[in-house]
Amino acid sequence: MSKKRLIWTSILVVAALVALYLYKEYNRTNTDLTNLKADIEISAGDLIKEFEADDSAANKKYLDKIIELTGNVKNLEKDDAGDYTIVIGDTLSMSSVRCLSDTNHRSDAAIIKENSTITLRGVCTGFKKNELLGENLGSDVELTRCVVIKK
Amino acid sequence: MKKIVALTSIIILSLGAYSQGRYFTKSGKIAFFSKTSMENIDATNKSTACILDSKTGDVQFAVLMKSFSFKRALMQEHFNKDFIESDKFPKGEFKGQITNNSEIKYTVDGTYPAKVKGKLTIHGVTKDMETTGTITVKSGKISVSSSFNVLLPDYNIKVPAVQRSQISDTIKITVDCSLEPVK
Repeated sequence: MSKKRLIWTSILVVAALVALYLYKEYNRTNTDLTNLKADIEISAGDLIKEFEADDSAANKKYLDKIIELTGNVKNLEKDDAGDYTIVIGDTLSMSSVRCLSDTNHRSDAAIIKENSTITLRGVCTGFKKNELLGENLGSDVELTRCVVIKK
Repeated sequence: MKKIVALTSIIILSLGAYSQGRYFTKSGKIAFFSKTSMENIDATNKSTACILDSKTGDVQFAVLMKSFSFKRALMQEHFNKDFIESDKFPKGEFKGQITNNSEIKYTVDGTYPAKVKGKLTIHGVTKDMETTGTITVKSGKISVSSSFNVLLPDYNIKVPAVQRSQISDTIKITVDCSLEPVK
């Protein structure tokens, strides 16, 4: 009797743990980058230059990596959902690094000043050479889940 | 000296005229939505590049697939790895034309219905597409919006049997871009 009970109890415990794991995994959100170590530290200008020179080599090096990026804030865009995109790069150039802020860090993004130097951490999602209809709109490297790094 | 100034102004003016009538953005929004009885999934891309030529009605959109944000990380991983295969096919693109462009007055405030025809590329597959949208002109600013459905099998996107109940074959795509003049 007690042996049978032990078996049933273990089955229940295992089933509960599996269910809990599945539930957690299903609802898992992206990890906050504040406390994760960056894979690469680089300036916005150098990152854009590398992608413009050889995008397949740069993709191999930077895609899906955590990048700690330093550069000049050209523009801070806020959309109607309340999300911020921090556009970093040389004001005179059409090319930029577009950094979508982590939704949990909106208040940090909101106080960013244009034309100031900033360091942030984000995951690189790729590079777009915006030559649309033959018009050169400048190229963009894109980062998501960005958090501001206070130094 | 006067001649040089005049010549320079002519050159600058003609350079300006070259791109006149073209509008663009790099912060456009494209979202998609999948609805089944089991669950709803939506994702948004906020760095959509878009250009519109008001003279010819030519339009082009480009997005990076990895820049779509999801609420749940697991879905984002499945989307990039299993469905869209964004390492192999990093970009999505639409290139087409507004077929009723002569009916749209880009200098007069108003809301104009637009008919669009072109080629949509997702997951490395290019298909002809026709849809409708809206062009809004308000004090010199132009915005474009549209909403249409795509069928996953059309773009060779396969959903495994276990996920059939969670992901619809019909995906609704919405486009929302505020454009500014190309200088």
